[in-house]
Amino acid sequence: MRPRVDLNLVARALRHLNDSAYFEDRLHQFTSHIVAAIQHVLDNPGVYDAAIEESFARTARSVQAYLAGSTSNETPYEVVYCLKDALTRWKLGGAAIVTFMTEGHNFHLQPLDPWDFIEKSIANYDSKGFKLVVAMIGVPDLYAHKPVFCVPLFHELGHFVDIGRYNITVTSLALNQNLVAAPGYNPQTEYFHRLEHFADLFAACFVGRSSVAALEAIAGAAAASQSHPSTVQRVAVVEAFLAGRNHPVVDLFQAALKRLQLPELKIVFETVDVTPDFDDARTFTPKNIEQVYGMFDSAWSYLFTAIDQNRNPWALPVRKDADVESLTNDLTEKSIRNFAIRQGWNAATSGP
Amino acid sequence: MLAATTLDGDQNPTPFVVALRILSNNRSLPEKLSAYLTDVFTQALQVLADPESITPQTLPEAIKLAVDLRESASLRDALASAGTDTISAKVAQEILTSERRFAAPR
Repeated sequence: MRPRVDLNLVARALRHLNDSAYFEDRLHQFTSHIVAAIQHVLDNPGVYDAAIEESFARTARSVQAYLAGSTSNETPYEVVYCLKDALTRWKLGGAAIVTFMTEGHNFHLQPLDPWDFIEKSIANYDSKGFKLVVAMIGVPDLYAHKPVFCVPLFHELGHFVDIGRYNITVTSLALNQNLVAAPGYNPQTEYFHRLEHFADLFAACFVGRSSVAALEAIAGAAAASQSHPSTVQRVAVVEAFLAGRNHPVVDLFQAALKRLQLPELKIVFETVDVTPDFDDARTFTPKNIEQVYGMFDSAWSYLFTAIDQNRNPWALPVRKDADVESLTNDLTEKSIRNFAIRQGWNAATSGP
Repeated sequence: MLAATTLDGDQNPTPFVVALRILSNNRSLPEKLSAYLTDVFTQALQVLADPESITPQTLPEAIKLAVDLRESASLRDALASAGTDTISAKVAQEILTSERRFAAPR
């Protein structure tokens, strides 16, 4: 479709979205400002180069799709609660997270920054100082309310912190050309492989080994490709990191992070065991957010150990894997929600 | 994406890419985009000369371009002869081609 036609359609869809009661307030503001920028371009035909209009239309279409996904009640609120905390640890506490429902195992990041584009390319538009960093993440709808299966979102958040904000991987390339993607050097493959290693390590800081356990479940036998290292290699890097062993890939990133004055990669989660509570069909009560992160790995182990060992912790008359999956995810989701409610209550009642 | 996928297409239209597209079509840049592109080129040459000069304020596009310049003698020569204020359509296209390696969907 022609860019200006698309921009008109996107603006109309965004105005409709902005009537949604499901948005948080700053997403309403974000949407209003995007619509205003689109309207500015539409009101000024011939002012902006065709390449600018075409790219802006493409950016606007993506933004609209991700905002649309964030109005429904399918958004994985409990996991997003954790992701927002993770962002604050990387100096991105003001960022918003919007989600787009996908199919299959399609967890992904959309590395677009609409405000950066508008500021630099739509020169005559006055944003009145508004700027909001937005992480646009794809979540399979099948797993939206299955927090144990949403651990890949931490990997995607790692891509956002890297590609979307700080360009840690590309800085590591500038500082050090040592090969990660052996054998044979291909600059593009080297870059892509490092991206995946960084995102894996980022996720492991928060959700421990469950980050690569999810990868093993989805792509356990995957060999190295142009875009991704082999699963075996990715698991080895993460396991070395979690065990506190030196690893050249980890060192590459730590050097880049130091150069960019960013936090180092370090374990955030606290190891917990959900088994006693989950066996009693009770929610787990984390003492702090670090234990919330620790729940993901423990709940993952709980779920798949129960399935693999044919456990029947709730003495169901007929034991089914589906019941184990459903109850484990429900208990995990409610445990996080209870924690979030307690934190909100404490914050509201401990004022000055 | 978490698992492997095919690499195709430029799915991330950044201001840097847009500026290069405009130049590669022999059109002139708006003032703001032109100033930004000059900053990218200037910083890229600094990073190329001394990667330790990277700071949190360094433009990400400059670091990417420095990596490209390090690996391509022809690109280095083209940019050096053109200067940082203006580049030809041919050089813009060459940089765009190099930039594609950073543009895969994740």
